[in-house]
Amino acid sequence: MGTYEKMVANAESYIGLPYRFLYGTDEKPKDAECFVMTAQGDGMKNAAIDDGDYIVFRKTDKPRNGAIVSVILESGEMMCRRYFNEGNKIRLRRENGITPDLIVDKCEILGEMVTLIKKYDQPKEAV
Amino acid sequence: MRKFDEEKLMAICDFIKDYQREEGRSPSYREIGRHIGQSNPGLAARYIKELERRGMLNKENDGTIAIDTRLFSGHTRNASLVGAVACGMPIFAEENIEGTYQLPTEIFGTTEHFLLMAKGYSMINKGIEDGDIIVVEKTNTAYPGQVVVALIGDEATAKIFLPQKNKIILRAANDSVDKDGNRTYPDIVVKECKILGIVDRVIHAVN
Repeated sequence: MGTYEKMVANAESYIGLPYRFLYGTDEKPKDAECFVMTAQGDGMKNAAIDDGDYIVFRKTDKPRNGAIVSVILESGEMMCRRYFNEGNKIRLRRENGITPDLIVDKCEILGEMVTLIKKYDQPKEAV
Repeated sequence: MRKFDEEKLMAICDFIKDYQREEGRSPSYREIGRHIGQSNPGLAARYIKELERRGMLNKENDGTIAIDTRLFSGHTRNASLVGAVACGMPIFAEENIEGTYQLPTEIFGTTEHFLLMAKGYSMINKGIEDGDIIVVEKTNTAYPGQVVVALIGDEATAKIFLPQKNKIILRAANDSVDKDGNRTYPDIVVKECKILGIVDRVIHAVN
């Protein structure tokens, strides 16, 4: 069983989301396999991803350059990073403006972000 | 003991899971049979029994395949996608609803929502971009400073709600100015306005 299959088998739950939310159209796309993760911490805040947001990833091991990806390092650590393919190296950026880029020879990409479901913090009383 | 074709076994298992996810119900034995190119549902039954023996699926009392409980761990609430410009009719009029979608309560909770497509960049500083789907909690009241969807004339628009003594200011969240220094998105000042709801979530699709 691959990492992705293991992750799906151990999923907390399956969530149905309208295609419209993921692909901007009501038609079923050819390649519709997605998974959802919740963002933890503020490591991707410069990419407008905040703690508690839901990130929908489309399953792929060939993300576009500059895409936000769900990635597993050789150490087994899973993270959310911006992805740059630089030929023989892969650059993984934590979008917080502080942490230096991580450059690796190899990593396993699970998917790239297609949709961000942001919770919206509203002032709850008069300001 | 009869042998099982492992590949076929896994293909059936995947087929059942995908089918449940897509259709919300289990496939019939006949459908499973067809999927593996067998018109005889007896063979499918034998494989299903084996999958059950291995603990990879459960059966209901009536022999049908049980739905993976995680599929329905959450329930859904319907929400209508309304057109931003209602052209004279009420914004929630049937003619103005572009579609109804099921929102999983796990993410969106159980309050009543409607959906609106964001147009333009007037709310960019509050994280709403052109083409985003705004998930709006239906309510007629709001606190000052909240981002509301209000009806201005015929148009439903998201703005910051700033009630004053005898007027209401609806302010954009975009400070850009034109070459004369005037705000590109000036305040909208009205005597009164109808609040349709407050923004609860924003769905942003990456292109």
